[in-house]
Amino acid sequence: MKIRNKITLWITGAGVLASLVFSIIIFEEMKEQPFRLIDGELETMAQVMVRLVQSAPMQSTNSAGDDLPFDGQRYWIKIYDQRMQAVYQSRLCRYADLPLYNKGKGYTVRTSVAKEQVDLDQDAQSEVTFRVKTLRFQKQGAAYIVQIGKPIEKLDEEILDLIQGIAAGLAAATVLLIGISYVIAGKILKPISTINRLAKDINDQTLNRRIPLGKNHDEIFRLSESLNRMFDRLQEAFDRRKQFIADASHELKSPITMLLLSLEEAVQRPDLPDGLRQQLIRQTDILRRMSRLVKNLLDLSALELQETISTDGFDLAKLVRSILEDYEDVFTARKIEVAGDIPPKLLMRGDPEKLQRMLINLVDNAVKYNHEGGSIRINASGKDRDIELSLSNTGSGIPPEDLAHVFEKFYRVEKSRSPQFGGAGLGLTIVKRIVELHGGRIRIKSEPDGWTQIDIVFPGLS
Amino acid sequence: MKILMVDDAPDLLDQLRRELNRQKYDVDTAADGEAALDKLFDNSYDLVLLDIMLPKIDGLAVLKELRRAKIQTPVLMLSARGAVEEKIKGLDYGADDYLAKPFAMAELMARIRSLLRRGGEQGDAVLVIRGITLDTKTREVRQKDRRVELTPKEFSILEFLLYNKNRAVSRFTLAEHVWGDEFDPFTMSNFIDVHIKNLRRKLGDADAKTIIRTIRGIGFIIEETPQ
Repeated sequence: MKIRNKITLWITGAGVLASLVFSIIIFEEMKEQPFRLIDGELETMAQVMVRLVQSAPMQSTNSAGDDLPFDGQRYWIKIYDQRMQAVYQSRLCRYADLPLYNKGKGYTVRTSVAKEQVDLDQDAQSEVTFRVKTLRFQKQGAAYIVQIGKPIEKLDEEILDLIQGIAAGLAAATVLLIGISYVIAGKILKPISTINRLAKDINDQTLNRRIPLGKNHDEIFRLSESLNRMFDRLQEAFDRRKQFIADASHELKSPITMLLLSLEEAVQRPDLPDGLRQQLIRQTDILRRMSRLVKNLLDLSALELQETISTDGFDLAKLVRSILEDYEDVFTARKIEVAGDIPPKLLMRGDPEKLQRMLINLVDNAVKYNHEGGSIRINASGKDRDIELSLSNTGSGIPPEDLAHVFEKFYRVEKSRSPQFGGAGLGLTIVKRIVELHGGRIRIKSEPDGWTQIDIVFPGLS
Repeated sequence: MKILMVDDAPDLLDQLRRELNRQKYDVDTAADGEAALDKLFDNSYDLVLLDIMLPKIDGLAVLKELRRAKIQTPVLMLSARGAVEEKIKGLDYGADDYLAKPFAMAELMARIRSLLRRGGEQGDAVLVIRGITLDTKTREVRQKDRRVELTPKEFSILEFLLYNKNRAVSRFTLAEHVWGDEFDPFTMSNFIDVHIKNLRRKLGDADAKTIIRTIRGIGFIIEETPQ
């Protein structure tokens, strides 16, 4: 998952969790609120009743409530004396009987009552909910309890409304949170993507570039610093290796040059015994092979160090044709028939010098490992935006167990390493590296005593 | 003809000096870039052989300094670094030619003679030997008054042999010269004989083989005076 999405998810999750806790607290508070209001009302009524009773003589009465100085019709009122005998009952007491709990605070009782008596909008036909409160008081040394109840609307519905409201609020908050946190995540990650872009731009050609450090000494600053230090070390290693290749070239090629020149000179001397001359000629040949090997090895090292290539446009078809032309004598002398399908013009982007090297190595192999009177097929085409190149030759073929290794350094199918075939097994390694430098793919297949085919694809270089 | 050779390997300088003296060139040497610049500012040379990797001041810097001082002596860069980039850089800095180490003496002689002809007072681009004239500019070959039509490879071989008159040139060196060192000279040297045969036929030398002589085990030679 992308870090941006993760951050969005985390922030949203935390936000939703906080809102949820907040909602639950609010919900708990709100749920009690109506009861507290009613309890307060009942408390006030009870006290009114107490004052009334205190100021009037106490006698056992059943009242319709009309005698009360407030809307007594709507309250269920009972007063008990010390022996728990009801000394006063309001009209509603006739329709419902409410149990007496000796609690300090209010409580809720559901009971059956004829609906029209209660004059409430409750939809349940016979179930009415009462909120009840009790209050103790003294009159002339005797203890009394006033129990006062009031039918209330069904609070369940109100609570449901409350829950719905909270849920809607939560949903809206979540959507808002997702949007905001996505934007925030983008803001947090922006410096990282900037660093990524800058780091990606640094290659073998631009190894001296560094990520610019910001003004704030924050985490991004430290990350950039660490990356820059890594690039320093990388550049150092890279420069050291480059210097090594240059030094090795100089130190190896200078003595070879000297040896080669003096051998050439010696061979030309007229006073040389014939046997010695033959010996020197053989040595010259060995030295030339070694010189060739050093060249290829150093070239390969340089290619391996390289990461980028020039992407000039050039005509691949023309290059292929000119190389085939250079090999014409070779083909004629070995009676090799060359055929293939190469368009008149095939523009591609890449490094023509390196691709020439690649083609020469391939054609050279196709000749070397061919038999006299054999064939070579070479095809090149541009499909969509890709360049496809395939070269196949007849010959004894490559055994399957060798096929996987032919691109390895110094690997030779010809295990005797006979000098008849020239190279030291670097040709195809160089070919592969050049293909890779161009972002291409190479594949080889071979059948015993049949065709050996190499397919190369350069994606997007057409 | 005075040539300055700049290289930090004294053995190589000695060897080249001996060969160049034999070819009647005056040779002066310098072992580092500083000495090379001193000598170049004090004396006048017809050609400079300049290695790129030099102590004190490297070859490219010497070349830059030289061209900045408006000294237009032809420069042949020598380098152990075969990279094409180096070659291009050298030519960009004003070098006239570039030769990668290791090289054959025949190749060096051909390059030197070609550069001296190009830059020298003689302005003479025509090589003449035993009735054969080869114009290196128009790429025209004549034998007595007869025009000889050669393929590019045949021309290249003949020109190379003429630049190296009186010196036997190996098939390997010829292959390296004709095809360039990107091609495998071991493969190509097997096919030099085909071109030599055609060349002899076109020069009317097919049977006698006296103009282009075969030196067994070594290669081919064109001599000023018939053997």
